[in-house]
Amino acid sequence: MSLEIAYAAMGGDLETVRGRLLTDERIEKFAKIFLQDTSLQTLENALEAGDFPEAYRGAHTLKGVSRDLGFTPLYEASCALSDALRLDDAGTPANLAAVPELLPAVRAAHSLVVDSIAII
Amino acid sequence: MGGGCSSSPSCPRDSRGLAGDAPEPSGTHQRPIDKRELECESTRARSPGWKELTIATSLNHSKQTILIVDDSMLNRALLADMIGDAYRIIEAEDGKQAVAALQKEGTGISLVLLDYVMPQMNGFDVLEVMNRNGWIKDIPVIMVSAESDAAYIERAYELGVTDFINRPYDVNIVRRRVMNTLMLYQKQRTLMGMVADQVYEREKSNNLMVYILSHIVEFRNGESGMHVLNVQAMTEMILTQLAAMTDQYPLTTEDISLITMASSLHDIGKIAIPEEVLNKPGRFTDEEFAIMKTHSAVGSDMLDDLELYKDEKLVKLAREICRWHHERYDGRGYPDGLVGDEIPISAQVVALADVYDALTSQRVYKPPFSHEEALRMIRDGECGAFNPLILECLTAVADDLESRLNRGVTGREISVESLRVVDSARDAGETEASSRTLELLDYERMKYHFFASMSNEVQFEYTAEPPMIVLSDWGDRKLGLPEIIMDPYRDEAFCGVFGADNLQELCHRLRSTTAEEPLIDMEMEATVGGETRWLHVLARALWSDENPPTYLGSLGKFVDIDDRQAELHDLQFKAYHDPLTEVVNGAFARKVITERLGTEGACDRHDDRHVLIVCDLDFFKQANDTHGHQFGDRVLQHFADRLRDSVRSDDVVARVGGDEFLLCMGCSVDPRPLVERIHQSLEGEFEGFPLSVSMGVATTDGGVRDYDELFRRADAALYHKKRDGRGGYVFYDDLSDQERAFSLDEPCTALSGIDRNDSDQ
Repeated sequence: MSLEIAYAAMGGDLETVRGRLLTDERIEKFAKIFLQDTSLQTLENALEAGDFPEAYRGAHTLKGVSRDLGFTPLYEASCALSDALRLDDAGTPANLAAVPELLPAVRAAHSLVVDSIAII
Repeated sequence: MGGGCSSSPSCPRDSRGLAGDAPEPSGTHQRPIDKRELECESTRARSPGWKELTIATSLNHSKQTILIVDDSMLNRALLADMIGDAYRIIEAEDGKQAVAALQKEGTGISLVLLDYVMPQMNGFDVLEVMNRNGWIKDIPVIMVSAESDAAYIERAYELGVTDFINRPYDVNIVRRRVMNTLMLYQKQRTLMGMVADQVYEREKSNNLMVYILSHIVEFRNGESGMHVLNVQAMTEMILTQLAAMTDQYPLTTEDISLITMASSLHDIGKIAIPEEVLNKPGRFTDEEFAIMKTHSAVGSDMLDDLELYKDEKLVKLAREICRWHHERYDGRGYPDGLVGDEIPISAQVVALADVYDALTSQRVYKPPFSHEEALRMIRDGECGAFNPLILECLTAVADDLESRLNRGVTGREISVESLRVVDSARDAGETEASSRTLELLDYERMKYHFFASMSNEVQFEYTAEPPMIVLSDWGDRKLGLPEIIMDPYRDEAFCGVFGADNLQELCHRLRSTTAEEPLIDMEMEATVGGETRWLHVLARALWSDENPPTYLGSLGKFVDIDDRQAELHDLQFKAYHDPLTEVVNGAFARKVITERLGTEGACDRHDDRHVLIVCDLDFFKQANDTHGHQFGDRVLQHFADRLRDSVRSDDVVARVGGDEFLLCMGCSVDPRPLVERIHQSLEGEFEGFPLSVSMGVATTDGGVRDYDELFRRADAALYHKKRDGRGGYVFYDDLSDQERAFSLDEPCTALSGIDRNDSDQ
């Protein structure tokens, strides 16, 4: 029951995830492993250091993971950020100007997910 | 990731246990390869029957290995969990680790799940390395990614990926894709093995049929039965040589193999020649020769008349060989009088092989000629006329020819066949080994790792493209370096250990080797764990087969010889020093002093004065007798210390007998005050034992530069000092002529003589 509450709290899509990952045990297990995921940290550190390839990698990982686990708001926020940070052939991010706006959204969505998982 | 080996023999990574794993530490390097797996390997190796067990595991693929390459710990864990524990999982967190795992496990890995976005080397970089090394043909790759861009997908397929799994993951899809791909490859491997076996079988029966047929002809000829095999072998050798020497004739490996087989049929036309002509001893009449000559045309006609398979390449080749193997390059042959390259190359080569074998074999009308004689006759045009190019080939293979045409010994046909299977596979552009070969390779790899882990050497494999070095398991721990290092010549840690200059030298020496002599060895100082140590490097450069060969990399080992070096120093010290007093021994003193004195005759360059003193401890025997030998030893040690203290550090102090010591020093001024001072500093007492010292002194004054003579003089002086009352010193120069003469005649000197009884031990 707590899984439903957690997903409702974060606005996640539990039903689809159940369809894909099959068991609640698995979903719960990996939701908890998500608490150990360091990609947000990687992203923030890299942005601070101006390391765009690494920043893109962080955003990309966050996008993939949140999508797998059906953390919809986090997926959408990190997807937007990942697109903005995507590098062209010369290694320049697609839309660096949008980052200051997109990053807080990712942060907010991330802490909502973390707080929600804590209920489980 | 700690923990020991579980009870299961193949030690699976329990994917369900992942939740308990520590979080991925950012910035630190996690090992890509499950170390438990390796520990397991050695545990297994120690138990009886390990070999059978390992082979059984690897042959039956009872647990296939899947390599998961993804920079996100969560992704790897999720994939491992979804795939389930029916497989052994190893993980790599970036492309570099993935390449290392592939290098190490080879086809032990049944499938790779590969992410694209990764630090250092991304997924495409990994695929490029897999292509370059040919791994992609044997190890299927499934790309796992959120990318859906068409260009991206196309590129991935171009690089040889088998399939895609798109995010978000769906357990059923992941399992199904993984299973399908594994099954497909398993099937392909089995089929490859079956095809190879069938090709081999078919070739074998073809050869067998051709052999039987040609043997029938030979049997009727009364020939040895080896003729066909010899012609075959020689045809193959010459054609191979020809193809290597020139591309004037388009000869593929398949052509060579077919011509070789067809060569057996060159004389089938003889079946139509009447037996009395065929086997006539002695010369043919013109009429008989005319009949005999028809066999070439008859042979080709027989093949022409075949109802089936007439257009097969083998039959076509056999027909031209039958018809024209008695043509001559100068146009004087039969049946058609073709000139030069009008004669097909196949017939030209078989003609030569036929002549050579006829010359070197016994026939009813002639004895056998020797190899050398046959070669000479052919070259001199005594027996046919041949294409100069083919004669050149004959010269090139002449040495091999004799040894390979082992007359009367069968078994040759087997090697021809096995060559052919391998070659035809190469021609098709695929050197795909059968599964049996792959399994043997896996076994060899396992064996190599086992022995490498047991030896105390650091083994390495270096590939030039991409520049990367892989160190053996034990080696990386020993050197404090990661197991795999990209671009090692520019890697800070790697250069820190070995030194940039050393590496440059090593690289230079490896690249200066040749394919024939690829070995080098050198010694270098390395910094291991902050400590300088001597390493011996033994390495082999790897060169490609091309012409000119390119440098592919190297393999070799670093052996730590520092301990050995220290041991050597220790031994050297022991060889030169007296173990009790730790001053040098007589032998070493002699060597050093002789060097310092220089050679006689070069005196003018050595006009510096040297003083040699032989000292003897008076009443030493009493010290031993009264207080015991241990005390005596301590007296000697003390005395040696005093001696050392009384002279300069570069003067020589040596123990030359029980209680006899030697001093040798340079002295440009009057030596008497010096000797007086030394004598005074030596006298005294040690723990109640009075130290009374007698000394004999000799100098190089007067041009004596010979050590033995100096020593004899000092010894003689000491002898007189002892005889005239102990304590004090005597210069040899002060002895009267009579005293000198006396001591010369005296058979025993101070060292062996006068007061041996009361002062020596």
